[in-house]
Amino acid sequence: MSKNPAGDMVTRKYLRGELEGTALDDFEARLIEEPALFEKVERESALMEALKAESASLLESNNVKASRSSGFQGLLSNLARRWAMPAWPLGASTVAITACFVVAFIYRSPNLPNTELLDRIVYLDETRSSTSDAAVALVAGESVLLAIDAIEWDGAADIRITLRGENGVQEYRPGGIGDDYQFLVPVSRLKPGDYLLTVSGRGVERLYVLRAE
Amino acid sequence: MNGKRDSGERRVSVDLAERIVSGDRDAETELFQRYYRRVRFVLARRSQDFALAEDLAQETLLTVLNRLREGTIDEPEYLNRFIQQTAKYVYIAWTRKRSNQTEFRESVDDSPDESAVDSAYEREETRRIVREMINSITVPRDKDLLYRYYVHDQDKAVICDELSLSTEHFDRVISRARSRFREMARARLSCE
Repeated sequence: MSKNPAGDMVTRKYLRGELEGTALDDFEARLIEEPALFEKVERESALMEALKAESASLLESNNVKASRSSGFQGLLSNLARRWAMPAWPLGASTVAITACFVVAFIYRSPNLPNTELLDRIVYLDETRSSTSDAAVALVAGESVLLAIDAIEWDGAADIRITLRGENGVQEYRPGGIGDDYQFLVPVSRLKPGDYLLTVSGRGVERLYVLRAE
Repeated sequence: MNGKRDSGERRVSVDLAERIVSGDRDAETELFQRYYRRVRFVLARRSQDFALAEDLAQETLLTVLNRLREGTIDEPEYLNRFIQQTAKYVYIAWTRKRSNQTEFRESVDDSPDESAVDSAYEREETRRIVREMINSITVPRDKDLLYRYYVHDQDKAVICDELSLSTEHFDRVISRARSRFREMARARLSCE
């Protein structure tokens, strides 16, 4: 993939239907001439189309699920409302589809507590820890699942996760690291303000600054 | 590398053209075997209609074959370019005829033909492979990445920024997904 980023870019443009004129002619001629390129582009196209088809059917099934499940009903009906807004057809449908996948992942996640309260997943890895300049932005009042990269603590027994804010400290005891190599920490209805999330164990400590606005 | 590949391909093209001119029927079969899938793919991308692309690919290669038999292709070393141009004009001619043929096609296309059934089967198979591939990915963020890249057409830089990923991690996930997909597709084909 990274060996030929320019080639990847042209392939991507071709599959998006963005190549025109001589650029399109040249790329098609190469596809006809070069078996290796053809195989690669054909596979990429199949992957893209199948994922899109899967995405559409999963969206459909999740909408059905939403109508039956009170836990996600608010979230999904809100997304469905946004999806239906004529001024935002593409952007909103993207939001809706993405969120439905997030919901689907939540359903599948084996070590997830209290799924019915969650609005979204926020991924925290090393690049978002306190070594990074920016605080992790959260929306005050929402309930999120913090998915924290945990590979450094694989096998450790003394894991401690704390969330420190103006109103005190909340401590979490993760059940262990799942196949995903992540700690999943649900955080509900944060009040506006800055918070410090600390993950420690086996002599390693990582800090994240969270900002709820 | 490019030069070697080009000259190799050109030798094959010239050889194929010469054999067809001399009446070699095996060479005619070879022309179809060599180019049919590639031409069909190109036409399917243009027309967004796999069954139609099959018909147009046949028409394209028959046109090319007739020109080769007649010996009227000036530069057989650029056969691939000639095939591409022929495919393009066959498609353009079809789009011009389309409006006149709409009523006729509707009356004929009441029942799916065999090739349409085959292509629907192929698509369903591919979806099954992709489903298995996705299910084999255990990290939610990696799945998220794939959907963003392939379904929502988000650019690599945007995805890396929003998911706080390094470009190396991004490349690894995409590359792994492609490899898994390729291996699963191969395994499925070898089972059939």
